[in-house]
Amino acid sequence: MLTIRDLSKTYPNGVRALSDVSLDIPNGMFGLLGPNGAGKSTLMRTIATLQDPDSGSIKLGDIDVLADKPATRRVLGYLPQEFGVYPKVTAEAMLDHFAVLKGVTRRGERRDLVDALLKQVNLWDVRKRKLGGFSGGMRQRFGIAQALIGDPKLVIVDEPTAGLDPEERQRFLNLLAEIGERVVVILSTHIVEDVTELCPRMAIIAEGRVRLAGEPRETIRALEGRVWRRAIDKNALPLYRDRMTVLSTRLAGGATLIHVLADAKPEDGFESVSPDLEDVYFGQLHHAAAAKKAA
Amino acid sequence: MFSEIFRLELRQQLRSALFWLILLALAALAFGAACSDSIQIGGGIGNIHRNAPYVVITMLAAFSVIGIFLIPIFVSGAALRDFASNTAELMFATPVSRVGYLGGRFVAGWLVSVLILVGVAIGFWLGSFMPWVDAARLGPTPWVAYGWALGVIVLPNLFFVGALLFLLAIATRSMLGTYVGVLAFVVLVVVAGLLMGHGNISHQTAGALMNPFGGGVDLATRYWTASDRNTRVPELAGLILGNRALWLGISIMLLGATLALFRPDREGLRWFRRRRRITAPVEPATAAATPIVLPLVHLRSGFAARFRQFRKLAWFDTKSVLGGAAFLVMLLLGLANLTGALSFTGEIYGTPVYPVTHLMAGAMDSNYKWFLLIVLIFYAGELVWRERGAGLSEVVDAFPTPDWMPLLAKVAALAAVIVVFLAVGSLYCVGYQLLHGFTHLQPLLYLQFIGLSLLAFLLLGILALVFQVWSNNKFAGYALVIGWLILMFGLSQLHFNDNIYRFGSAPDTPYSDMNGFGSFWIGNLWFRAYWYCLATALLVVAGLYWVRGNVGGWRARGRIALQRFRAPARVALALSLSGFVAIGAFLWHNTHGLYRYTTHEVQQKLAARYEKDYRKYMGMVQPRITDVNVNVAIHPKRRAVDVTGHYTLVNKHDKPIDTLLVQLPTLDTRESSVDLDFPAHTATLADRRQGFYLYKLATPLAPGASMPFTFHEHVAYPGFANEPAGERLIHNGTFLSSDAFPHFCYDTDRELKDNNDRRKYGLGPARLLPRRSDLAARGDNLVSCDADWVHFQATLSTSADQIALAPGYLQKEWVQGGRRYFHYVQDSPILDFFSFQSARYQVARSKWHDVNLEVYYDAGNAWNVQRILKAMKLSLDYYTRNFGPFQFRQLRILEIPNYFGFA
Ligand SMILES: Nc1ncnc2c1ncn2[C@@H]1O[C@H](COP(=O)(O)OP(=O)(O)OP(=O)(O)O)[C@@H](O)[C@H]1O
Ligand SMILES: [Mg+2]
Repeated sequence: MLTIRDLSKTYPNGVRALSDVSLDIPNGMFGLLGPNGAGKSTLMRTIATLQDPDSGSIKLGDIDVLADKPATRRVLGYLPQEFGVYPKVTAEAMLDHFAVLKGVTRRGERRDLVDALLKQVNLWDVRKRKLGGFSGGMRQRFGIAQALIGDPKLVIVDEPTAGLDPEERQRFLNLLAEIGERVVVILSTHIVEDVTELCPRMAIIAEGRVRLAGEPRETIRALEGRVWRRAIDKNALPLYRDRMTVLSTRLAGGATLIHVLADAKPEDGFESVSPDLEDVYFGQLHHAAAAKKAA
Repeated sequence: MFSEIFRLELRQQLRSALFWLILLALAALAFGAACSDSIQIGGGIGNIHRNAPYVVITMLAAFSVIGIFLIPIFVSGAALRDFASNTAELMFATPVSRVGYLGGRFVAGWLVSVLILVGVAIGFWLGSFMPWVDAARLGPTPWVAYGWALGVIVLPNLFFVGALLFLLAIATRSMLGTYVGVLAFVVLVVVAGLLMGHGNISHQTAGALMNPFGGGVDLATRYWTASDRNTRVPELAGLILGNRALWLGISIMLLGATLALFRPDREGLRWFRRRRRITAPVEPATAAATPIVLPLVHLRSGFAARFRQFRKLAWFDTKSVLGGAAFLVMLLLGLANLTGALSFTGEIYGTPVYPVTHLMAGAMDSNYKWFLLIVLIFYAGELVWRERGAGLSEVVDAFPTPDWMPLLAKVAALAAVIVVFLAVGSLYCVGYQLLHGFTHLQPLLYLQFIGLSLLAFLLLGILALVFQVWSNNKFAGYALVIGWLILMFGLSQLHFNDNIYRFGSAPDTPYSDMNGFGSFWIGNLWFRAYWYCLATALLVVAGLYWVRGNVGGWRARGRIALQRFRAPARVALALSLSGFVAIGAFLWHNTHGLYRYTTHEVQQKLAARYEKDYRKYMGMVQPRITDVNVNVAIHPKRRAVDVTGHYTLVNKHDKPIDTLLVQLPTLDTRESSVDLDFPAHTATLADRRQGFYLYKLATPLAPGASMPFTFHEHVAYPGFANEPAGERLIHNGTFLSSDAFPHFCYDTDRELKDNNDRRKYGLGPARLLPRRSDLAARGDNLVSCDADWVHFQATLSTSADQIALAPGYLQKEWVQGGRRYFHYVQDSPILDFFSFQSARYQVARSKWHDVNLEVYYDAGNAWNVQRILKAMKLSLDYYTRNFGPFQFRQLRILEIPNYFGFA
């Protein structure tokens, strides 16, 4: 169980990346959704002991994450959103190196572990290749392997599926789900579907604030009967935006399809749709924007 | 387009702190050159004005040479900016023209380098106005020379270097390629310089043309008189014009090539495409059907695990350096340079010598090791920024390794790199020795040299790492190291040479095959220990500030440093600092307590005072030494000597002498004393510091009368001094001379020699040698001012394993109280100049007619003893046939350690 309380962080350039973030994250997959610049990576880096907040606390079981970083690091598996490699080192050697740093200092143990990890992320065949020659997706898989060293109790993966082909993405998500049965897995992503499908719990952050936290299905249920859809003329969009809460617009076959949030049918021509997490997501962002405008 | 890019680039460059840092540092150097004696650039010495046109030109030319180390930063920086900041793909997607893009960048980078040189000129110009500058040494401000130097030398020089490096940068797209260019270029200049040095006039012309820095100037001004140098500016004609035109042409060609080679795409230039068997792209995941189970592992953090992690990290970093192109390039260049040096090492004044190990080490010292300096500075930056540069820091920083480990691993990596570099050089030297059929290899000695150098270089490496960590900016880190090196250079120029405040420095360890490192290594190692204590403290602080994770700003780093400042760090810091202070006190006791540390300034003042106060006693009528009987007890182990000497002094003049002038030696060691014993007298002047005394004799010494004069002298060299002291009194190879005995005349050797120094202290111009008609001067022989021929005998004693020698024929040799005694008597009068040797000598004897020939040599240096004996015989044959008979019954040749510039 990961407990985050009142986490705030303002960067030196004045950007308030986190404000009063409080979350309870139990074992299992936890999805973080949020637009670009919402503060997801900031939050994850902070949990991964790479950055100190201005205030707040983080507890992993009985470990005080901010005070006892070494203890946290021993149980942590972290995949940053962006990372590089030493181009001239082979995947196997690099993973071996990382395993030593992680504390797997027995050679035999380590060799078995590295082999298994490489097989698991499907890089076994290219283990002798230099990382410089890896494709973006292969590199990402290498990053995943690295995050799984040493049976971590807290796995933080920042947009892990970016750049993966559909098959690899599926494989990886399955793997995560499997791991998530035993440990805390925090996953940030822009793919709302992934969260719906995999994460028992999730949170939406925007502009550094937690907009919503809960179980995806429950949050979707809260919107049941309140999401309406209509195809409109492109030029009429501003009008609709003025008058109602437009969640999303989408071009479909030449027409513009909009989703609108309303307690009752807003107009003729709208039809009710069953909400999905995307609607929840846009609804929250809309809230956030409205709150900001009001303030 | 051009102006757009140009302006953007210029603004970026001018905004960088590095630019201003370098500008200020160099301008300050030029300022110092103009207004202080300690910094000599351009040759404003003697009668040449400090700001003579010639000086201005050579000074600016010299700075434009220094410029080659800066241009990579500006010009290549400009060329590589987009690749370094990953904006290349954005940039190339815009419709920028090739000429506009390259031209804008190049001209801006070049202009910035020119601005630095303008700053230098201004610094120099300002320096010449400083109130303390001797007005007699200034001429009118040579505006023409400034203009000439900038226009003819500086601008084209920087243009050429800029063009070369711009091309290299564009072609290789790496800073490294550019540094290689710098080195290739240095080699070019050195070759040109060598050609210039050759007597052959046609080579000189070629050299003058080949030198891209305007070599013709040197040739054109070579025979200029001081007054030429004070007034003239070289004509822009002949070789100078040819040289400038040639290199301007080459520069333009280089720029043309750059334009042609520039490929605005991602791949960049490919010199060769490697032919390889084509590997198929990886099979798209045939997903393993059976799920893979990760084996259970133990994460360890005990001492053994930490050690393994440390070893792994250090080795990983070491490998990255050893495999790095910069390292290999430096190594190869170093070896190439060493090869040249070794080919000269094989000769001393044209005589071939054996390639013994210490000569090899000397060649490495002067021609190989400074490449290591570049390696260390460069890789200190590379290593500190390695993880962040590769974008891996977020990954590795989240691993459970302790905060101190990466930095310490990098220190270890640099140490390993130093060892490898020196070991390769040593092996190369061994190869050279074997190639020359020299099989007397001394691996242990090589190891000692490596060890001593490692200690010195690693301190610099640590400092470079610490600067990188603290500044948290690679280029600022480099600038700090370079600034520090300049500071050290400046300090030694200003004669601030006390090792106690010069980070990393220690007394030299002169080596001789006879005496090894003697006891000189002791002071060296103590000083190193002292600096390693400080280095440890610096590393601890750097470790506190080591950036882990995403922290920016000093405030945040300070907070983290405070968090990390727990018991282990505190203990380490306290221990290292107290070690530093304690050892420092011990060093102070040695270098300032046991020895006199005299600054250059004080030495000069003393010399000036000596002349002012005592010159008037020169030529004062004094008795002359006629008999010398000394008892010299040498204690090689303790590096001490006790001398009891008996002189007989005779008044050879026609007037009585009532005052005795005694000049005693003034030594650096404080454990030196001289007691005098002679007929009733009172001291009228006693200057201990200068060793100058006047004694009024109770009964004046009548003409023709004689008096005894006895002295007891004790000298020892305990501990160690700031620089090796007492090289004449050592464990094996003691070589004392009678210079250190009392004498009875004013010592002209102590006077200041340089006219500018003399003017500073209000002394007239230096005196020329006396005229041939000067009878008073002719009254003295070459070696002494207080004696003619003397009768000499000596009793020497030394440790049981050594032989002690003095002039004269050995009368008796005996052992008493565990010491060996020798009594020598010279039965014919000799000059008043003797030396006393003691060493573990081997003796080879022979005879030439009835003359005993003896060679005293060290067991390890038996190389040429037979040849020497043969040469002695042949020489005696020749000299007696052609010049005159040999007046002695023995001829001895003795080996002395090679601490001296003579033999
Ligand atoms: N090192 C930094 N210095 C200053 N501001 C930063 C820094 N890192 C992030 N920010 C700012 O903080 C805010 C949150 O950034 P963060 O990277 O956490 O967003 P994110 O949710 O991960 O976005 P994305 O989905 O694009 O990855 C952004 O406005 C960003 O500009
Ligand atoms: Mg992010």
